[in-house]
Amino acid sequence: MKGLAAGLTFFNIATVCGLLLGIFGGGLGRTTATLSLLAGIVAGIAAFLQTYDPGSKTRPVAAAAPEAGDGTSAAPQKRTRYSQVFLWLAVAFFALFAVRSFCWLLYIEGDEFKIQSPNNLGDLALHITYIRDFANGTPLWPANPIYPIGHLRYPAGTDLFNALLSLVHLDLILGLVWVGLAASTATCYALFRWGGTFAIAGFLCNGGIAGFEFLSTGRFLDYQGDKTIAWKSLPLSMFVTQRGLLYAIPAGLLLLWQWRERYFRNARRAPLPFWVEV
Amino acid sequence: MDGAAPAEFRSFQDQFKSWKAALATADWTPWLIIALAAALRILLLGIKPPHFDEGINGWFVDQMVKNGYYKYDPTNYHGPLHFYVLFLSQTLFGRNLWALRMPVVLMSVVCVWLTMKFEPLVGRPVARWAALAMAVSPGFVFYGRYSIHEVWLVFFSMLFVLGLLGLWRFGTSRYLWCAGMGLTGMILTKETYIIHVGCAAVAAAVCYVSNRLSPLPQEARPSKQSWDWVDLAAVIAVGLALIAFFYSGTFIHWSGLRGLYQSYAAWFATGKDGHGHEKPLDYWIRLIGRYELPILIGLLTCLFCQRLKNISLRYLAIYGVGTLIAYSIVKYKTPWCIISIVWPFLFTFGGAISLVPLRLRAKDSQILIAGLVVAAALTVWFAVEREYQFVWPFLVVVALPFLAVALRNSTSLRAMQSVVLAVAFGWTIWLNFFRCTTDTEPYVYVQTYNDIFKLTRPLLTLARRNPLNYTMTGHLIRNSSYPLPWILGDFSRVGYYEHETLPAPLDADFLLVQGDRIKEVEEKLQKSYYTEPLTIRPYQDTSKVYFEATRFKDFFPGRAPDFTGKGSG
Repeated sequence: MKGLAAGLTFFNIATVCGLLLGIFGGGLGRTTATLSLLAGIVAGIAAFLQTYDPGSKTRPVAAAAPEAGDGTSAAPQKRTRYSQVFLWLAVAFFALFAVRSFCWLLYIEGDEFKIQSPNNLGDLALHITYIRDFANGTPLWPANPIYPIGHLRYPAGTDLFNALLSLVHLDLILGLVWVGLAASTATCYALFRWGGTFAIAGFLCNGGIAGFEFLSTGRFLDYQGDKTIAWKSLPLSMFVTQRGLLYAIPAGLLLLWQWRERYFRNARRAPLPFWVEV
Repeated sequence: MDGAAPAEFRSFQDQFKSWKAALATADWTPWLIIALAAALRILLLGIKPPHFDEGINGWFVDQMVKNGYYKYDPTNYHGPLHFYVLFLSQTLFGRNLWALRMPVVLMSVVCVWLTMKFEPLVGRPVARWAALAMAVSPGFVFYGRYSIHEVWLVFFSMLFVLGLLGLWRFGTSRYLWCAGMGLTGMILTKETYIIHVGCAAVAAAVCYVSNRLSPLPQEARPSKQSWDWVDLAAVIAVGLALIAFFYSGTFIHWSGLRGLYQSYAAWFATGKDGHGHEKPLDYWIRLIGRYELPILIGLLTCLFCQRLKNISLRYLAIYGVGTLIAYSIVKYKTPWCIISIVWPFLFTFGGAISLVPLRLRAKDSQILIAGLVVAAALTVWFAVEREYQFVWPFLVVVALPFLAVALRNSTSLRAMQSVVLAVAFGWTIWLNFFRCTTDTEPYVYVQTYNDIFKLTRPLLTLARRNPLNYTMTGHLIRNSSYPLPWILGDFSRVGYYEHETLPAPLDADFLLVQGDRIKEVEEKLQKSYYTEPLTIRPYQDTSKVYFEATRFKDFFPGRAPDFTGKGSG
């Protein structure tokens, strides 16, 4: 959890710093973006060092085992060796989902920009508009870039973070991919630490039995994407399209884990430092 | 929370102290070897333009972006794994030469690390000398800086053999996984895995006979196997799942699985006929003689195979010679294959120390001397009468007596090995940083000339200045223009015209025209252009590149357009 807390703190502090510096500086620029990201890195390192993970000392995989002459574990561990097979299967499927969803999130073919997910056609265009708007130095908090009047009312923190990356010359598409894959890794790990293999599988497979149509067609498709089925796949319809969830889901799970350790498992001390919790 | 802060600071201090203690007690030798390997492979990685094959690999990755998967083509006979790795690298780091080459660079460094993982089998000094020899080898460095499949095959074949030897020596499930994943990785990399698997099997039989002739010590007997059927089932299931996943185009292109066996029809035809890459039987020895002195010493050490008392070293010697013979028989030879052939000789190079002190019986000495005299006579005869111009026979005739003498004393052997490694290191620097595109170097094979920078530098400079320039129009009117289709992949209005085809209108922002079509093209051009001769790679005629005068005038200061079309006046 130390790595997860560090990553989320980096993201959080960089974005908040970007916002504050943008407000005081009349908009984001390369300097403010660099400063914000550096502040995020420093805060991330501090969070890593100050987070206490009681689980890391009690997990069964860390149990001491006798060693064979060549440094390999001896036979007594055999019974537990493949006990995590369902976990690795769930992680493998999560990785497939993340790579397929985010590596083809937005790509260029000839003169055209293409978006893989039909759910994302409107959303991603809007997110890119926000990212561009922030990166172009619009005064913060900005006017709504797609309406003639009023301020932006969308919780655009993830887009602001991507704008910071754009301002330090990371290509827009690469930035979207990096954030998507990093958030997927964080989410998968947070789900595992919160609810184990079942939580990962539950996140991926939620949504009833529509997906079983695969058994008759033999084709891997989003069968819940059909307009007549209201119960959509959570990862495909929400996680990929609503970019705020890329931060919100792992951050929420981190807080849930913190409170569970603190109030229900009587941890020696609170795993997260107060400033990270806030 | 009030009481937490002091505990946290104490924890940080403890952590710092434990890091300090770990650093003080760490064995730095392996890390220094790995750092040397990494430095030689990473420094100036973009110094040579993309190779023809790299351009094709990059183009396949571009197709993956469009299709959503790699469509395995059995006539291409290259497995899918490399393309998926390149896809990930390009998606994460952009379409550039570093992103294309970096995965292979890292894998090449991992091969050096894996060499040291043979330590439980061959001993620490042998594993480290072998790793050092691999780190500074001209071939391993040269092809470790290319985005081609070969390094993957080296890694997986090493992993496979490590697994086999580990199963023999220790019999743990970890080595079963090594063997299984090594085999899976080879299948996912290149169809030539069949040669390595065949050689590994034959080497086992030969090793058995060798043991009967010159028995190994008692501890060379197979160890009791501690893995069970569950382990085996798990290894097979994971291996099959990976093969199915990648060959089926991530479950989208199921017919790709048939390519697993269909590829062999094409492969046998190519291997038999050569398809323009025919080379003589002694091709690999020629390369070894020219560049790879440590490997030559390792190969010569195999002559004393029956004296090797370590089962793993003896097996590696037999397997290495077997693979060398097998690859020599195949007519289709490309120089990068050398690294997947010769890696066992790195271990025999390092393992020569186990022969010290070498005491030859009088009869053996007489045979050795007689053999050397005959070899020297043949060498001179071939050089004078048949004008054979390769250095390796001389090297063998000179190096073998030196080796036999050096093997009498560990100091002299280590001195010899050190000199040989220093020579290899010098060759590596010379080849990789000074002559990496010089086509008289045999390792530099179908390499793109620096000439293509004449075309790509102005284009990429303009595109960097203003991304709208990615929409410049370009016509490449020539056959086989790789790697340009990959380099110019971000330029959306570039057309490729082979054989008799021509675009209309013919005028464009830039053109590249094959020599025999220049007259035909120039008759139809209307605008004014700066021109330059340009040769993409060896065995290809010179082309002419045209830059539209108005757009590219900044790159040719004070120079009038070289060609003026009919409509310019």
